[in-house]
Amino acid sequence: MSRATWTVFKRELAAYFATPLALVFIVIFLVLAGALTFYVGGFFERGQADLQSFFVFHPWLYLFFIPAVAMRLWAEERKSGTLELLLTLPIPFAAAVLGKYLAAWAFAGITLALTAPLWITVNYLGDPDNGVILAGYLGSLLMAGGYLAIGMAMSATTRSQVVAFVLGAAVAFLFTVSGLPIVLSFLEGWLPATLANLIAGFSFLTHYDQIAKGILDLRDVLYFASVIALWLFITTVVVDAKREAG
Amino acid sequence: MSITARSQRALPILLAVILFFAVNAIIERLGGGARIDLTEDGLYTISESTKKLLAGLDQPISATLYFSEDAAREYPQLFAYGRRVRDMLKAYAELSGGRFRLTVIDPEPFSKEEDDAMGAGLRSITTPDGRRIHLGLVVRDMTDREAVIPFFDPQREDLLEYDLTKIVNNVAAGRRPTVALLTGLPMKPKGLPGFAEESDPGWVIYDQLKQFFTIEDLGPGFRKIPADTDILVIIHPPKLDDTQLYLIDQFILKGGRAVIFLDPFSEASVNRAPGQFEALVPIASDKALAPLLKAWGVEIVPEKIVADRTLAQRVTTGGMGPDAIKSYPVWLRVDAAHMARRDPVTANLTTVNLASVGAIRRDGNSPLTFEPLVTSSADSALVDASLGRGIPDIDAYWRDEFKPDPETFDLVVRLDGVVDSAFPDGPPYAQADEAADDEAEDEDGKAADAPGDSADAAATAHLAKAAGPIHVILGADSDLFDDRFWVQVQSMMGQRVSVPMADNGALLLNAIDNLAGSEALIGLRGRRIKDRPFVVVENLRRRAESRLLEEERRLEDELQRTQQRLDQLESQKPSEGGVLTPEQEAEIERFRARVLEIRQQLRAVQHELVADIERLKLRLALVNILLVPVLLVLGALVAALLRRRRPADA
Repeated sequence: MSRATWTVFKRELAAYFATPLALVFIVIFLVLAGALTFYVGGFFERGQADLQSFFVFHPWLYLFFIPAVAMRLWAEERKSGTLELLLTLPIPFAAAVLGKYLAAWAFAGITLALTAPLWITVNYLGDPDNGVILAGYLGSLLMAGGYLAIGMAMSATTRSQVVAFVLGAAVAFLFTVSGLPIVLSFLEGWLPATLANLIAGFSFLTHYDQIAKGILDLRDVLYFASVIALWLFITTVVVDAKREAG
Repeated sequence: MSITARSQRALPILLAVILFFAVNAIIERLGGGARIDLTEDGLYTISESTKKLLAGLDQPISATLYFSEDAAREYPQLFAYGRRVRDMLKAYAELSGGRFRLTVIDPEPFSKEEDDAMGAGLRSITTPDGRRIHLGLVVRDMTDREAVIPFFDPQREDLLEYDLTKIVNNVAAGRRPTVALLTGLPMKPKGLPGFAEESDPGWVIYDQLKQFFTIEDLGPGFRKIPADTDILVIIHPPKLDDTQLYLIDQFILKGGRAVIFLDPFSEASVNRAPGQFEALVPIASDKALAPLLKAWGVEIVPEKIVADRTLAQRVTTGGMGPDAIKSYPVWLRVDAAHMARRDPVTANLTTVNLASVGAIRRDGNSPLTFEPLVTSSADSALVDASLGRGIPDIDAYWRDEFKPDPETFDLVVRLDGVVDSAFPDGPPYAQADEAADDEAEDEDGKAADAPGDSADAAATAHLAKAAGPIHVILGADSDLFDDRFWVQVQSMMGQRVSVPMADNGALLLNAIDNLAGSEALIGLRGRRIKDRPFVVVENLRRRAESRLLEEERRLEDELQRTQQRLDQLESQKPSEGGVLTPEQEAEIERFRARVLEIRQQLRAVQHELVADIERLKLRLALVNILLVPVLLVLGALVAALLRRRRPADA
């Protein structure tokens, strides 16, 4: 991480905690995650010392949580006019994008880390496979990174945080459900089969499930890395365009 | 923004998207070499025994994986599993130094490849839109000996390496060990040929034995043990006559190996014969081999079974109430802590379910080394075998009969050493009919009479003492091989799929395999560790049960006494027309109230059992849902307060 990126990263991360909004997000996420795990996922009734009933909800929780975290990234700067200020700083443009992104990802990571009581609980109750749990957390973090990159690109396209949220959730939704058989059979009616198959391979679910089983495969990691890289690049292009457009 | 400017912006994005797709198309085709296995037991890592088997292949083996990758893409779970199977097989190929050759085929619909796959016996799943998904394996050696896995069931994912190594091992080994099986249980499939599956598919364990071994069934009236037998397996045998005992004795003494499971109380033979009254008396086989065991200096304690409070199986006793599930101490769920961890037979097993199991004891002067493989806990006792009969009153049993004995009991043991024959004076028929036998042997050909049937045994010299150490694994239960105690059989897409709940099957296979001396597969069995229960909850339940039982007993005693007293008082009532004194009336009222009160307390006690666990759940749910949020909010409030105060201080 270059110094410029680090500077932006620190500024952004601090900005999250400057308002109570971030706190509200975290609290909602934690309460929802806990309640779903216990009351929908049947964590206790299953009687199995693993966190399956916790991780299974992550894609769907992130669908709303992550766009909410990402929506302010650029939209706010543009609305309040601080974007120009940021961009006139003597730092490379890409560094600013990366710094902002990493700050948001760190925020998501902190939120995820705050679910640690569940990990402690399951270790208290039984003898879980902590390797699989670690893999679950890693997979979840990577997936959050993917959603976040999408949300950030969407935030760059608009001045309205609400629009940014809706767009972010919509695109993230597509990347999530594209792996479900029901969607694919629908798509196949409209698209050539090969294209439909290609889309299926790009679902977050497929890759996340693989990692959450306990195998950190290079292919799944590269997939998430490529998703993140793609959307960060798009963000850069879009922000650059908006800057020139004023 | 002008249109040109806009398209100038769009172009790099378009290029990036294309690059993204291209990169992922390449990633997809990468091998699965680069991966980190984070599971505790290395479920996704190839084990040493497989590596040894692959490195030691002495002839080329070719494997063809049929995987409909394109069609499977729509089913993420199946697709991911197919990729995993492919990656695993690729790793096998790499480890074999060229001896194991892998071909992966994605069969086109109605192609020759698809015909080949179906011809080899592979099965497929048909998708709603009519496409077939294949995910099966054909393994062949040079002589075209062939073995197949018709369809890789994702439910058996934990056993993938085991299944793959097994099939490679089977094809590579050439001849499989021959097992002579002697049993009085209905293990074998029955029915008309072709309809066999429908009528009675037999026990899963028999199916599994068949997968690994060549089975020679010894009928109840057997008169010889086939010469090529590697291992004799005796499970709950029918009544044996002296000749048969002698054959078994000599087979073992001559270096043959044996796996023996006898049973003081066979629940299977009770339950398999519905409608027959006399069959309801369970058949015991604990004494079936008594003369042999006596010669070896071991015994199965006759007519006794082991009851164990700590290892008690939890059973549903019917009903929906809080006491619908109870501990049943004569059915044991033996965990890893009560199995020999170093012995390859039990090293990898996690649970073995036993039902009314006997205890094996060693005589002080037995010449055999006696290594327990499966034992009871210290919280166990020997009880009368008849206790398992009928529907036992579980609560009464707990209250009145159960007195734990601090010693542990050996349930399955390994016996090695040199022993004497149980027939020191030679074949039993020789004694019975000595003169006739001599004549028969002189005028050869007349040996076909009843005693002479054993010509095979007589043909080889009698051994009064084993030539070398004998190797026997002896267990005191046979119900453990009954499907209902260890395996769930489901029908999935027209196939019989069995998912084990306990390692009972692996115990028998390990035992046979271990004695047969093929070590390659031993390290792989029982690798599956699925069940990781909430230990705390289980302990809580057990403790609550034993604590509450005492209280329940006390209350019930009191209830009985009070009731008796009440009856007594009421019987003192003067006959019709008579009047009770107010004192007597009051006394009766008091006792009636007391009876109601005790009943209420009893109900409360029963509720309490469930309540403890519910309380734990609620507490944990609250901690997990609210603790961190509340702390965060408090922290934020404190921070806000501090911030507000600071300017004032300044």
